[in-house]
Amino acid sequence: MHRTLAYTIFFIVLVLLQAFLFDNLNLSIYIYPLVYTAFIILLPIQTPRIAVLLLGFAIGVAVDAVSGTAGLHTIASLASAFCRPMMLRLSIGKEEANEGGIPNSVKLGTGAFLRYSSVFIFIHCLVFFSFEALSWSYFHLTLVRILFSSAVTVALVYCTQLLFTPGQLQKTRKTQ
Amino acid sequence: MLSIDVSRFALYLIDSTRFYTNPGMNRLFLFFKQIYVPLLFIILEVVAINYYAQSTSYTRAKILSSTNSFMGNVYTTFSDVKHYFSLKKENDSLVNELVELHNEFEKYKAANPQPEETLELPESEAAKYYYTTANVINNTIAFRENFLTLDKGILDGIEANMAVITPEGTMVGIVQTCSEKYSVCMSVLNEKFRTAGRIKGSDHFGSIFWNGAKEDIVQLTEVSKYADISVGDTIVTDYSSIFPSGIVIGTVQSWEMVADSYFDLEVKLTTPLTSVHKVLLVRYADQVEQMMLEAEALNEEDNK
Repeated sequence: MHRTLAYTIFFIVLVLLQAFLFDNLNLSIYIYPLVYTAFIILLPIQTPRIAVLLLGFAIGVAVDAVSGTAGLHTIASLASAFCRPMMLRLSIGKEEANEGGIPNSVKLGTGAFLRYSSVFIFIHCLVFFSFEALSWSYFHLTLVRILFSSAVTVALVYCTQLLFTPGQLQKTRKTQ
Repeated sequence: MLSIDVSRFALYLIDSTRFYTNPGMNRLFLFFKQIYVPLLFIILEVVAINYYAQSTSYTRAKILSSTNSFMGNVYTTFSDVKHYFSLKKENDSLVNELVELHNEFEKYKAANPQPEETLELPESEAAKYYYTTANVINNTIAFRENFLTLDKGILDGIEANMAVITPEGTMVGIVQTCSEKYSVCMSVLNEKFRTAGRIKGSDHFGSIFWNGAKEDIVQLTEVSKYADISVGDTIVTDYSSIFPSGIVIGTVQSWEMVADSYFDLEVKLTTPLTSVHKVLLVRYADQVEQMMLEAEALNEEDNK
C-alpha cells in the first residue's frame, strides 16, 4: 500500500507526458510512442488481475480524454492489461511470479524484462494501430507503424523503468 | 453445464446449511471466480469499441473542448515555450514578406502615380475573403486521420469550413469544428481530406488527397492526359468553396499514366505539416451561397 502514492504520481505524469510531449513529437508518421503503457507494465507482480484490468481501463480513458481520441487508447490498454498476467507467467516463470515485487529490469533481469515488455507493447500497439486504421487496404503501412512505434516505445519504457530501480539496486548490493 | 449449475444453485439457496460443504456449490463459485475477470474485460472492451465505432471526427473536437478549460491552458503554455525557439525564423519570414509587399506596392505606385484620384477602397463587407490568424497548439501526424488544434474559436470569429493556410500562402487544412475558444482542423494529412488542385499556369486540374504513406507527399489524381507535366511544376488550389484560388500546395515530384486515360501525380508539400506553428484562417464570404447552390444542382441531378 505504501506504493499507492508513487503509482498515482506516476499515472498522472505519464498521462501528461503522453498528451503534451509524445502526441506532439511528430518525428515521423510511423512513430507514435505509447509511453503510458509503462504504468501497466510496472504494476507490482502480485496486483490482482481485476485491479490490473481496471487500472488499464483508467489510464486508457485518461489518455483518450486528453488527446481527443474516442476510445482508441482504452481499447488497446484493456487488451494489453488483460493479457499481462499471462505474459508475466510466460516470461519469468510461475515461481518467480508468485514472489511478487515490481517487474523491472533488476527484479526480472534485463533480458526477461525486455522480453516481457516488448511482447506487452507489441500487443498494445497491434490493437491500437489496427483499430486506428480499420482497413486492410493499407495493411503494410499499419504494420510498419506497429513495428516502429513498438520499438521506440520499448526503448522509452526501458528508460522509464530505471526510475523504479535505484532502491532495489542498493538493497541487492547490501545483501551481497 | 451452466444450466445444471444454476438449478443446483437454486436448491442450495433453500438448503443454505450445506452451502460451504457441498462440492457442487464450490464448483459454481470457482467457476465465477475464474470467469469474472474475462467477463469484465469483454464488457468493458465492448463498451469501448462501441464508443469508438460511433465516434466521428467531430467527437475529437467535442472531447477536446470539454477538457479544454484545463487542457487548453496547458497546451497553450507548452506551445508558447515551443514557439519561443522558432521566433527568429518567424521574424525572418515576416521581414521577407514585408519586403515583397513593399516591392509590389512600389510597382503599383509606379504604374499609377496619383492613386488618390482613382483608388477607391471597397466596403469591408464587400471583400471576398476575410483573414485572421491563430497559433497551432496541437498537431498530430501519426494517424490515418490527422488534426491540428488551434487556439482560437467561435468567440474569435472562427467557423467550420474556413481554409487554414500558412502565412507564406501554402495549404494546411480545413477547420472542422469549433468550441468557444478552440478549433479543430482536418490537416491535409487526413484520409478524408479532399480538394481540387491545378497545375499552375495551365487549366488542367485533379483531386488532391493523401494516401498515408509519406508525411510530405500528397496525391493529385485524375489529371487530363493532355496535360503537359514536368518535375517541379507548382500545384495550386482551384475551384473550391473553401480555399481561395492559387494557394500553393506543393511541387510535382513524379507522375504516372493510369489506364491510358489520366495522370496520377505525387506532389511534395511546400510546407511540411510538422513545421506549422502559426496559421492564417480564411473565410470565403460567398461560401454558404456557393455550397447551397452546388448542393441544389446535385439534388436536381439526382431527381432526374
